[in-house]
Amino acid sequence: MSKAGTALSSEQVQQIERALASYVEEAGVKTVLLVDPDGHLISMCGEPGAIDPVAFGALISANFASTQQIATQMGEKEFDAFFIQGKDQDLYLRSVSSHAVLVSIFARTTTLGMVKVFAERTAKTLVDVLATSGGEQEGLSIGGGFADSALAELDKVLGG
Amino acid sequence: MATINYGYREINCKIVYYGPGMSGKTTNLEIIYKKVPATSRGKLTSLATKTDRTLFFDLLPLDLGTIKGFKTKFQLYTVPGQVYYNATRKLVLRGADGVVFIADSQADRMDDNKESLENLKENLQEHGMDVAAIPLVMGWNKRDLPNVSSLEDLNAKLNPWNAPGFEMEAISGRGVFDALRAVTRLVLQKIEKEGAR
Repeated sequence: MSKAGTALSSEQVQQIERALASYVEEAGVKTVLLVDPDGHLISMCGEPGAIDPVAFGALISANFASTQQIATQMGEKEFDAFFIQGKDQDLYLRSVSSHAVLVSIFARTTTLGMVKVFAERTAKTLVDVLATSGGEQEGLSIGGGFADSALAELDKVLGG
Repeated sequence: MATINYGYREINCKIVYYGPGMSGKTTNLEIIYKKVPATSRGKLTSLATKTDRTLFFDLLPLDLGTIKGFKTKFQLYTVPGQVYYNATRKLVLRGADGVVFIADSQADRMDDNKESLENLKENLQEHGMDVAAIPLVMGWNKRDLPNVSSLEDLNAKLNPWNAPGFEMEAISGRGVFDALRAVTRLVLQKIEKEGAR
């Protein structure tokens, strides 16, 4: 049967968190986010600062997707990474295969080369973690009246 | 597609408002933003031109709170309606769990509605999705204006799938929540039935 979405298990999330924490420490980045291609934030590590993670994830995902279209027009299969330079902070985006985008925010004083090296290594780790499905976990099935309960909440939110 | 994160016990769904230019997609999100309590929604992010036409997308996050142990979140997106922004429309449509098609009911916009609907079908196909299978709701907007097509005509020409349809005056809010409720219901039922990979 075709499924309605993707799932991450608790174990996968723990592995992701460990990989991101190591990356923040080794590369010296301020914040790292892992965003899926649909714009959903998967995980985040470091200082959140003033970022709204939901909007930020959506903007990053759209930005990265549009650069892939640019790559196609240039005759490139895809861009693996790109760098955006700010006044005080820089941004480095690295694809994690087709599963996600690794987003690094770091001070201008941080060495870009280090960020690139550790981002690539982290991306390789994350590809392995994300390659398998999280499936459903015992006791956490979303079946059994989930839709009705969620709709009741939506009615409350909408003042129904 | 919906993401179920068992680690954080979180479900994220994506709903896309589609339709021709100036049909009222952004107005739908603005009304939802205004009427939903601030505790249940995030910021309305708009990537628009200087003349307030949607350039890339609008985004409004909705938070339904914790349901059966899962934090349940929706992201509502609009696409740019203007014909020449198809590349960005396609990008926004990626991973959509449900679509609200906002049609302009004015009789002279029928061709624009048809063109946008065809474009929706093509773009969904490119993402491996089928318009007949995705949760879809029709919003018949601008019912308050003169010279609008009848609901029978709109349904006959734009809704062969018999998707739920709602009369709408987005600018006053009429029909906006009905359409949101309906698409949310369809999305949640699909997730409950099919689960996630």
